[in-house]
Amino acid sequence: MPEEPSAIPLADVLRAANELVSAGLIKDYALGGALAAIYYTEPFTTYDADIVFVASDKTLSAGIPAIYSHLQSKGWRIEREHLLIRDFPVQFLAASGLTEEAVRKAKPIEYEGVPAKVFGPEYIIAIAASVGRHKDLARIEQLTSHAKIDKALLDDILRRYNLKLPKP
Amino acid sequence: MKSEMRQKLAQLPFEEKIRKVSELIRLSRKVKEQRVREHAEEYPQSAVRNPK
Repeated sequence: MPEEPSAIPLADVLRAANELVSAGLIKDYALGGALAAIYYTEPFTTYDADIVFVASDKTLSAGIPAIYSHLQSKGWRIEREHLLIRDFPVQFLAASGLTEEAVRKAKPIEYEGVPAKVFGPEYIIAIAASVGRHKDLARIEQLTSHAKIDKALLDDILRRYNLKLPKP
Repeated sequence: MKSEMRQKLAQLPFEEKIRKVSELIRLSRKVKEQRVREHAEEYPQSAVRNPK
């Protein structure tokens, strides 16, 4: 029986993000959110991908109309706050402050031959601490249990952004 | 899930983990669809009253 294609077209998502950099529509990007956490933890269910980008356009719109227009010309569809590639939702989120630093310091990876970057575990934890939803707290627990964390780096990030980890 | 099993899964290559997430999504959709079907069979009138 032929293998069913992956429901998550992550290589296509990363390729598209690289094209946005080449086209000058964004300066840099990294994979964030649940898929970034999964890079370091056991797999768990998630229904979208978060691409966090440093905008080339520093106006309020962060160049999002041009990004959407470029991706639509490549066959992506828009559905509410998501862009869909092969029915898989992707959010393009403009970075600022902590998330911009997370993009700049992200770990270079290669996914199915596509070069990309993924948030470091210390930044994922700090961002989760700043958001603080139930699923973010679970993410912190997963990462502290299963990822190699640079404690000094994490403490430095938490201190600079005035964040605290939840008490276990 | 046992901690050793979680640790083992955490060490899989990223591509393999993404394939597993895809399987989880497919399973979750299947279960959801099955629940909707079962609900429609158990309560056929609710489907008439609320066709959505």
